[in-house]
Amino acid sequence: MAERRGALPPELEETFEKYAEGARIMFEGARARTGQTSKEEIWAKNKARLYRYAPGAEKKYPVPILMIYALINKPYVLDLLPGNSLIEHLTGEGFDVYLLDWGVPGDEDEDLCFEDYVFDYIRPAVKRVLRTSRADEYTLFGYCMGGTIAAMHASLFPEKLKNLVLLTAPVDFAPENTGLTGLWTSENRLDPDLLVESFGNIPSEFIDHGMQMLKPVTNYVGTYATMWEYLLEDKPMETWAAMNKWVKDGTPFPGSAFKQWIRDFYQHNKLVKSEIELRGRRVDLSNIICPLLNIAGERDHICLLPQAEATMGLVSSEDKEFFALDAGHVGLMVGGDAKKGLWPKVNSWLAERSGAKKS
Amino acid sequence: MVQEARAHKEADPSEDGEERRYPDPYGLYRRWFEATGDSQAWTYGETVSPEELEELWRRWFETTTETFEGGVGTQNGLAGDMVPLWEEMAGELREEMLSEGDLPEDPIRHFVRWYRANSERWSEAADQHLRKEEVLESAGRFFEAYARSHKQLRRVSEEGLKNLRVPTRSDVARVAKLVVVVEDKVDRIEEAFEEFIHGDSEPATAAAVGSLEERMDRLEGKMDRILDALEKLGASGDGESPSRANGRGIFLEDSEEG
Repeated sequence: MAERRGALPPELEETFEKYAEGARIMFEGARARTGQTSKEEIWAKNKARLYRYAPGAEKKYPVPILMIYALINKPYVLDLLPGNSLIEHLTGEGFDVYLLDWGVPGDEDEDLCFEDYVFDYIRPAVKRVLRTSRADEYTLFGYCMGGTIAAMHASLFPEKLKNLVLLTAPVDFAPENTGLTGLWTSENRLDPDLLVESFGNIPSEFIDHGMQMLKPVTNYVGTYATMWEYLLEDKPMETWAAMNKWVKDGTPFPGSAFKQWIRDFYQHNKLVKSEIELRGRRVDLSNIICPLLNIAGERDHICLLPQAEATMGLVSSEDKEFFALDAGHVGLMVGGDAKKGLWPKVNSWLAERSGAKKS
Repeated sequence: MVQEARAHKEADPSEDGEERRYPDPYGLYRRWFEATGDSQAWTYGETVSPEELEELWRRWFETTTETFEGGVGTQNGLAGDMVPLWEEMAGELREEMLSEGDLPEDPIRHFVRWYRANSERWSEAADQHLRKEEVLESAGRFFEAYARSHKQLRRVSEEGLKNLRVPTRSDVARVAKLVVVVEDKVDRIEEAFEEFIHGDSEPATAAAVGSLEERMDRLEGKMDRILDALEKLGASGDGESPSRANGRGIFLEDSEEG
């Protein structure tokens, strides 16, 4: 066989090698070394881990940033690759960055719900952040569902919160604002109780396909058209590989939290009506008084623009800004556009509000 | 699928004597593999003329698109609705690829180029399709049926394993839950210690202890006065209820003290 292969013209052999590589990626998934910014684990609870990034680096700003991501997918999208990482960028600019990673829930975590995450995870994590950084105030940064959770935490515990940054954080779940997701999750079509009774935690594949079906042509075909283009034209494809790895590397949605997410948020839109109660305390977003930077993507099909924009009318902050980028849900976080759009915006906005040390 | 069933039938006489036919699930793939098998034989052959190569591509391409069309044509609802558009686009793709006079380009490159030109039209059609009421209803029913069958399967499996005295995932989860609870208790103790060490909990200073002592002394004094009053009342026997009399005294004293 090797002799026969040797008889092939080199261009053809190279093409076949690329075909083989493309086929391997399609069947096995892409490989990439993600999340490489140095970090230190400073606290752990159940599956969750609190990391401090670049712990040895000099901090220019005394107000630390605590990042929170969604309960589905893993948070390393915030630290995707060297040179393509928001966390690396912010630590490089002198910010003290922490990330609360929820970890991968097991069957035993089926009962975890939003109140547990807010009271038992974020609250103690905030204490650890303040203690570790010897700070009196902090910035809370929430991305996607992590933004919704961050907003709820901010409304219940506004003390010591210096700034709130929400990135593609859905708050208004009115049917006219939720697009296809709203149609699929409407009360007459989706019974979250049945799904949780059947599966316990909702499998990541289920969530993944649901997300991909929001744009099936782009996600199931376009992704691989891009891959072939990069492969055949010898373009660098590290970012594509890292993104492909991340998209397929989901986490199960804890059953109780899933029920709440579908019932209270999508089906009854309780957050904007201040009807969400966590451990008996009503979540009222008007309790948020700190400076707010609210960022959304104009081409986001997961958190539609009006879903995020609604926050502006609900908080009491005087210093608040809504910033819309011409990008999709993840495209605004990584890639060339992120470096020109999101990163400098977050950096400059926080720099003015994080009490830079005088040199 | 009907065509496939005709091409790859399995004999199964029905009651009326006619032969029943079933779809061959591998029919589509078989056709595709036949074509790729040819392509492999040609690839590793010693010589290939340009005409033969063009013929190879033609056969590969036609088989692939026919397979694709056949595959989607068998789908009802979701994919079935898209068939006219897919067929139209596949036809355009075939025409474009094979009408250039020269050897056709790499089919994947061609596909990528074609995708870039047509993805918007395709996406729009898919989006419209997914918003249709019948599609939404059908998807809802599918998920419900899938969830119910999974629930049933889970219940039956767990019962079977229980009868065999084999621990199930639920058993492991129950144990893990207990571990999480214990871990949580240890965390709380650790947190309490940390709060004490880091000063989040205020230590009892001498001043605070002194103030507490003063308050205790005052409380003790009040208790003594109450007891005295009770004793006096008991001795005089004036008939008024001791509790009412003393209660009034205490309230007066409290309100005076603010």
